[in-house]
Amino acid sequence: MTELPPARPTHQFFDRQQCEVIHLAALEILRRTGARVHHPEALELLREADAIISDTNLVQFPAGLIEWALAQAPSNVTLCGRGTSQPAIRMEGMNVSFGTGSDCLNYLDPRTGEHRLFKAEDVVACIQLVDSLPEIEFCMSMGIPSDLDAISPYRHQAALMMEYTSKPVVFISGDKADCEAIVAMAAAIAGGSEALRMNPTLLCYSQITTPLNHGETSTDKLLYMAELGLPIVHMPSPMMGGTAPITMAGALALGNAEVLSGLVIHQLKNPGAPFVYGQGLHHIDMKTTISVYGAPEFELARAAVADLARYYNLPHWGYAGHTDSCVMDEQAASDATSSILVALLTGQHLAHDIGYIEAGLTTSPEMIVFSAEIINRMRHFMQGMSFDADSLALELIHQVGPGGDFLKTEHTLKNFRSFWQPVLFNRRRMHDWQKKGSKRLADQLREKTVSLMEARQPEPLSGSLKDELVYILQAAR
Amino acid sequence: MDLKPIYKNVIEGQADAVESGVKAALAAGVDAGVILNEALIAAMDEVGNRFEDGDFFVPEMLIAARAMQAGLALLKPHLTAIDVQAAGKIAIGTVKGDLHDIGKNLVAMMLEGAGFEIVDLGVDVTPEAFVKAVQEGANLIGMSALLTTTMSNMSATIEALKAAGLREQVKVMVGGAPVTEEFARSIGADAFAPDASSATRVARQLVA
Repeated sequence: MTELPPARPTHQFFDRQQCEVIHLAALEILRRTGARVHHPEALELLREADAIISDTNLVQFPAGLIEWALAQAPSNVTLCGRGTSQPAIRMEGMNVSFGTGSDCLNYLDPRTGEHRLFKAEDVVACIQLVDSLPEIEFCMSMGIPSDLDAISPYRHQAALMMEYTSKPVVFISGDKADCEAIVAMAAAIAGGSEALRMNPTLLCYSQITTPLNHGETSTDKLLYMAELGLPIVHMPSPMMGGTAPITMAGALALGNAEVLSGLVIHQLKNPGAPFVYGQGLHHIDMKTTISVYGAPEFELARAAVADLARYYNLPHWGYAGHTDSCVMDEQAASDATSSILVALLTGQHLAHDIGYIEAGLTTSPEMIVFSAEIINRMRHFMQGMSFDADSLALELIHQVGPGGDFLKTEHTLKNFRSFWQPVLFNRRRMHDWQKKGSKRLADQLREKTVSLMEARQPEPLSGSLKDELVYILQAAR
Repeated sequence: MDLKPIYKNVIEGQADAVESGVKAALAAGVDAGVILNEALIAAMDEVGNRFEDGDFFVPEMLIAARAMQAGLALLKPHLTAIDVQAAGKIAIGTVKGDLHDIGKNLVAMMLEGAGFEIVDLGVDVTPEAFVKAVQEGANLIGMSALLTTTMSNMSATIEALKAAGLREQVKVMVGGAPVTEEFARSIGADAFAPDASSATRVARQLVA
C-alpha cells in the first residue's frame, strides 16, 4: 500500500494574481501619489536613489526602486531566547508563534476582578505568566506601569521583560534614545552587539502614520535598527473608513504602499537588514468609533496580509487572542478562538496581542491563559492526520476482528496520548460535574490563572547583568 | 516481606513484574489474602482514585487491571473461601437488546481489581439470565445500557427478580451513558454509577 505524507488543514486566501493586483496598486500609489517623509537623512537617501522629491518632503518612488528593496530584504528572520543561539522563533513558511500585546493602560486583575491602572508589579506578574506558558512564545510588555517613570516607560518595560522572561522580546520605544538603551541592555545580556546581531533576542515594533506619512521619530528608529542589522516590524495600521478607504482592497493597497516605502528607506540605509512585513489593517466601528478587533473583516485582513507577505517572501506580523469585550467572558472566548484558528490557518509568523480586551485598552491575564489553551487545541487541529502503516492499522483491525474492542490493545495504549487533553474545558457529565463543584469555564480559568501567577518563580538574571541593566537605565536618563 | 514493589508494579501495569513479585511473596510464606488485599487491591484502589482525579486515563487503568489479574491468577489456588467471599459476587451484563459492552467490560475489570468475584453474563442478557445468576449465589447484579431504547429492560429485570421472590436478597446497580441517578431511582435500582471507578466504590457501599 502506498504511504502518503500526513494531511494538514490549509488555507489560502489570495492567489498569485490577486497579490499582484495589490502589489501593482501599491506601486501606482507610490509613483503617482507619493508619500511624505519627515526625516532629512531618509530624504537624502531617497534622493540619491533617484526618487523624485517635491514640496519639501513629498517622495514619489520609481517602481524599480521598490522592487530593488524587495529583492534585498532577507526572506526569514529568527529570534532567540536569552543566552542561546538556538532559534526560539523561525519566521518562515507557515510557522506561527504567539505573543502578547503591548502598552495597555489598564489591567483586569484576575484575583479581585478589579479593572484598574497597570502597576509595575502587574507588568512583572504578566511577564512571569508569559514565561510560564509554553504556548506563548514571545513577550510584549502588556502594560504601561502607571507608577514608573512617566517620561520613558518603554526602556523600563523592556528591562522588566529582559529580567523576567528568557523568551524573545518585542519592544516599543518612544524614540531613538529608547531604542539605543534597550538594544544596549539586550547586547549586555547577549554578550556584545555582534552576538546580538547573530542571535537576536528582540524585535523593534514601530509605526508608520497612515495615510502615507513617515514621521520623524519612527523613521529615526527605522534607520537605527537598519544600521545595526537588528530586526524591525515597521508598519501602518490603516483604519478602513477613517485613515484608509472603507473597502478592503483599497485599504490593503494603501497599507502595502506604506510598508513598501518604509522598506525602501530601510534597505537604502543597510541593504539586507532584517525587515518584518506588517499591516494592522482594521476598521472603525461606526457606532462606537473604536478600532475593531473582533470581526470577520479583521480576520480577512489577517489572511490578506499574510498571503501578501508570503508573496513577497518576507517574514510577517500577525494578530490573535484579542477581543472588544470589556471582561473575560463568552465574547472574549469566542474572539480568542476564531482569531487563533485564523492565525494558524493563514500562517501568521508572529501573532501578537494575546490577552488584549476592551479593544486593546486592557490586558487580562485570564485571556492569556485561555488563549494558551486554545493555541494548544488548535495546534492539535493543525497537525492533521497521518497515513503511515501504523496509523492505518490494518493488521490491528484484522486481529481485533468483528465484535472485538480496541480499548485493551497496545496500539491504543501507545497512541492515545496524542489526542488533545484540555486543561480548562469540561468533559465530565452533569452528575460528576456537579459533584466537582459545578464550575463554569470562567471559574476554572480564574483559579488556573491565579495559581499560575502565584506559582511562577522565574530564572533570575545574574546579579552583574542586573546591575548592568540598572546602569544603562540610569545612564540613559 | 515488602509488598510495595508489587503495589507499585500493579499501578504501573507491569504484569510480568507483578507475577514474579507475587511468586516471591508466596515463596517467602506471605499469606495469600494479605498479598491480595495489601498489594493488589490496594493498588487498584489507588488506580481508581487517580482515574477519578483525572490523573489516569482508561488505557492506563486497563493495563493496571491486567497486571492485577496476572497476580490474582497466581494467588487463586492459595486463597481461602473467606478471602474471596469478603468482597462479594457480582453478576454483570448489558441488558437485553444491547450489544455495547466496552463500558461493561471496563466495569467488570475494575470490580475484579477491587476483589469482587465476577460472573460476566456478556451482552444481550435476558431478565431470566440475571435471575438465574442470583439463584446461583450472586449478591449484586450490575446492568449496563448504552441505548435509550434498551434502558427499559433494566426495569424488566428488576420486575423479574421481584416475581421470583429474589429482590430482597440482591443489590442492583445500573450504569451506561444515558443512565442517570433519577432513572436508577425511578426503576427501583439500589444504586447508579457513572463510570468504572465509581462503580467500584458504589459496589463496596452496597455490600458493606
